Amino acid sequence: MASPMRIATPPLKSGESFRDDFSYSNSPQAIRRFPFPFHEDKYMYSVNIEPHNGGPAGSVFAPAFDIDEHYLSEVEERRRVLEEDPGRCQVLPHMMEAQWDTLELLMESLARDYPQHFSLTTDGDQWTWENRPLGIRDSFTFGDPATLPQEPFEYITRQVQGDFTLHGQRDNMLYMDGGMVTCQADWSLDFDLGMNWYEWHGPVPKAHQMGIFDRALKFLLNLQVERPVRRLNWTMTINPRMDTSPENYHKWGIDRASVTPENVGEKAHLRVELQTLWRLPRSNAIIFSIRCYLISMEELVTIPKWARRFHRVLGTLPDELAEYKGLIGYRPIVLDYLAPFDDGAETSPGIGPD
Amino acid sequence: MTGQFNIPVRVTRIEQVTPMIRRFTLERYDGGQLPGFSGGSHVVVTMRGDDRIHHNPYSLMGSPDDKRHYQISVRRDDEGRGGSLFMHTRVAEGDTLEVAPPTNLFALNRLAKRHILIAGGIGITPFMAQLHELRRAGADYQLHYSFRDQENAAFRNELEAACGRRITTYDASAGEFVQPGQLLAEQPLGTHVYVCGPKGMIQAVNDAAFELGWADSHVHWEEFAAPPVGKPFRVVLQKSDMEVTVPGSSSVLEALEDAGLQPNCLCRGGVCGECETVVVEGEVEHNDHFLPDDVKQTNSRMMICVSRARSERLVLDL
Amino acid sequence: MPIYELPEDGIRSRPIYRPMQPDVAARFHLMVAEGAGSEALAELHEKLPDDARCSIHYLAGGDGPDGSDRLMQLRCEQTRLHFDDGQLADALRRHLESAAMGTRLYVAGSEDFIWRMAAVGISCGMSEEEIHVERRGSRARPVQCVHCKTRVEGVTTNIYTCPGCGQHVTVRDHFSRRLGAYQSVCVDAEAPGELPPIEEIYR
Repeated sequence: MASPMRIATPPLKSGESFRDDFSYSNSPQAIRRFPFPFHEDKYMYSVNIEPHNGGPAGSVFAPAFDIDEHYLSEVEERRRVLEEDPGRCQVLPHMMEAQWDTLELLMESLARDYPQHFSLTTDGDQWTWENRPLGIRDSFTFGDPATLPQEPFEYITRQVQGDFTLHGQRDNMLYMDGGMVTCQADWSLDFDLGMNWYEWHGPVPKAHQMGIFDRALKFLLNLQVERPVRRLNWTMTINPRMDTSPENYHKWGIDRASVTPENVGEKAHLRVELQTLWRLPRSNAIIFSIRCYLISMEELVTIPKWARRFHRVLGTLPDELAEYKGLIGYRPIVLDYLAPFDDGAETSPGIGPD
Repeated sequence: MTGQFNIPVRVTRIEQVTPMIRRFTLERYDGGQLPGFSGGSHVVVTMRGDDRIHHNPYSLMGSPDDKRHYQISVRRDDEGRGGSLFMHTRVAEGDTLEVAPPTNLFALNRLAKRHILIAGGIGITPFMAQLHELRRAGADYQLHYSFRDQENAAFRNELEAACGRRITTYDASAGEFVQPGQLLAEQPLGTHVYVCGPKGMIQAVNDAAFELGWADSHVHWEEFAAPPVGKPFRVVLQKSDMEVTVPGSSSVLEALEDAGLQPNCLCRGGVCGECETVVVEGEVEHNDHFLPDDVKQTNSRMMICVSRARSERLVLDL
Repeated sequence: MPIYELPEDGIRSRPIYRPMQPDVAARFHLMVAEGAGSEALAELHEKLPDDARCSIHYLAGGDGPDGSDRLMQLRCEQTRLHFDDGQLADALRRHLESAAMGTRLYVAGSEDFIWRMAAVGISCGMSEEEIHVERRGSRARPVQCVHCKTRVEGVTTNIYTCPGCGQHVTVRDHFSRRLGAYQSVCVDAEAPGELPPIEEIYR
C-alpha cells in the first residue's frame, strides 16, 4: 500500500454536456482522483476483486458511492436518456423487495458520506429524503411504492451517478433481474434482462476459457451483507459520451472513425468503471454499481506515470480484446499520441499518481 | 486465506422455550444496527469456552425488519461437541458472544407460485423468519410443523397466531406424522417445497418429490452437518510448510484455526462451498453437501469444515 | 452451473439444440409442436416408457410437412390440432394452469415458436429445468433490432434492413430466451454505406 494520499473532492459543477458540444472536462483535482486501473506496465487480464471498505480520504474508493464534480450533469444526462428511451430502467416484478433494499442502501450511504448534500430522517416506516443539489425533499412510507413518484429503484437511481443492475439469486445462479443503465459500455439491459450470469457475459471473449467466470460467480454467490467488494474495468470511448449504448450505436459508432492525430488528445477517452457489488439484506439479491469515469488523453498525460503506463498497456492489449472494446481501429493513433510521453522510465508501484 | 469479521453481541434475553430449546435474543455490543438479513439466513456464533472455541451456525428466526436484534434458538445436545451445551449451561443474560454476518443458503424462491414449508422440531427456526417475508408479500404458503409431543412443540402458539389456517401441526406422540407423498401430490405448477428437520424427514421429502416427478430446482432443504467426531489424523499444509494434528473432536478447519491460520470459510456446515480445498495426497471421508459425488470419489477436493481423513495423513494445498 | 449446455466458443448465450430426450422422472409429458416439429415429437414419443402419460398439441403449417396424421396415430391421452399459434398458446396456458407438479413441457418447431411456448411455461411457474426445446425445420432466426426494438421472424441472412428504422443491421449470436430473439445491431455505423457481403446463412 502506498502512503495514504489526500485528494480534495472538487465542488459540484453544472451544465456539462455528454453529447453535441461535449463540454465535459475534468478539473485538475478530478484528474488526480481518477481511478486509473492499471497496476502493471503491460496488459493483464484479472478479475482483481478486493473488499470495498474505503480508501484514502477524497479518493473515489473512500465513499460507498462516489459523488463527484460531474454529479448535476450526469443526473441531467440520465434524465435525458430516460426521456428518449424509458426501457433503460427496468426491474422484473419479483424484485420489489430488492428495489427497497436499493433505496435504503443508497439513501443511508449518501446521507452518511455526504451530509452537506443529502439527509435522511426516519421514524419507523415514515421516511424523509432530502437531496439539496437537486432540490428534492420527499416524505414517503418505506415499503409502499404508491408514496413515491416512481418505483423505489428508479426513484433513487435517478439521483445517483453510474449504472446499477439488480441480480436475483436462485439455485446457485445470478440473473439480470433489473437495472438502471444509461451510461453503459455497449450492452443492452432491455435485451439482457432475465439472462443468467453466463448468458449476459456471453459476448465477452477469451476470459471465460480460463474459468474466470466460474470462479467469480462462486465468489459472488457467497457475498455477505455489509461486505461489499469492488473491481475496476476499462475501455475507451471517443468523445466524453456517457451513453455508449448499443441502442444508440448508429449515432456514436461513427465517432470512432473521426479520430485524427490532431484531435486524438481531446477526443479519445479512457473509460473506467468502478464496479462495486453488494449483497442486499432483505431480498438476498445482489446489486452491481457500475460507476463510469471518463478522462481524455490530454488530461491523462498531465500525470506522467499514467501516460507512460497506459502507453505500455494499450500496446500489449491482445487484438481480440482491442476488437471487443471497439478500439482496434484508432489504437495506432492513440499510441502515437502517447509515445512522446513514454521515455522508457520505470513506473512506481500502485495505481496512484507519483 | 482471509478470516471472518465477527460482530460482538450481548445476550439480552434467554427464554426456556421447551425443556430442550432456549431462545436467545442478541443485540450489538455497541448498541448499533445489525446487518440486515433475509428469511432462511443463518449466523455462525463464536463461543469462547475455557478449553476450546466453538463456532456453530444457527438460523435467524426473528423479523428481518428488526435491525436491533437477532434471535436464535438452540436445542441442547448432550452428545454433541459441546457448542449447544455451552449455550445452555454457560451463557447468561448480559454475556457477550460473537456472530459473523448473516448468510442465506436456504432462501425462498421469489418466482414460486406456492410455497410448502415442512419443519421438524428445531428445524422450524428458519421458517419463522421466512413467514415474515411470505406474509408481507401476500404469498400462497402452507406450513407443516411436526414435533415429538406437546411439551416439545416450540413456538406453537406464536406460529398459530401468525399463520392461522395455513399451519398444520403434527404431534408424533399422538401418532401424527407429515406424509410428504400426500402433501406434494397434485400441487400446481410453480410450487416449491422447503424442508428443515431431522435427516429422515429431509430424505422422505426428497424421495416423495422425486417419486412425483418434481424437478430438483423446486425442492429446497437445509441441513447443517455438525462436524462429526472421528479419529485423530495429521494434515500437511504444502504451501504454508506446516503440519497440524487434527484431534478427534475438532474439524480440520478448527485445528488450522487453533494453529493460528485463518482459512476461508462461511457456513461451517458443509453447505456453502467457501472452504473448498485442494487435496494433494490422502483419502477423504466426505461429510459435506456441497461437492458433487464424482468429485468426492476422486479425493481431489474437500470441505475442511466438516470432512475428515480416512487415511492417517492428508496433504492439502494450503 | 447453468442447467443447459453452453457453446464452447463464440457468444455463449447462443442456444444449442439437440434431439429431445424424455425426462423419465416426470409424471406427465406435455408435447407441443408446429410444422416439422411433429417429427421431433414422434421420435420423442418412441423413447417414452410404455406407461408414460402424455398429451400433444400441434399446429400444422410453418416450415415442413403436415405431421397431423402421424401424431394422431401416437398413443396419447389427448391429441389436439390447432389452426393458429395464438389459439395453441391459449390452449397450452389453460392446460398448464390445471397441471400438477411433475409435468414436463416439450416444444419442437421453429426457433420463434419454441421460445414463445417456453415463455408460456415460465409464466405458469415452470423452471427452465422442466422445459425442453428442440429446433426443427428452418434455421431462420427471430431477431430483435437493438436500435428500434422491431422484431423480425425468419431472418435468413447475416445482414438485413430493419423494417422499423431502415438501418442495415447484422445478426449476432447473442440470444435472449426471454424475448426468444437474437440481437441485431447496425453494421455500418463506423463506416456508413460500407456493407460486408450479404449471405444467406440461416436456412
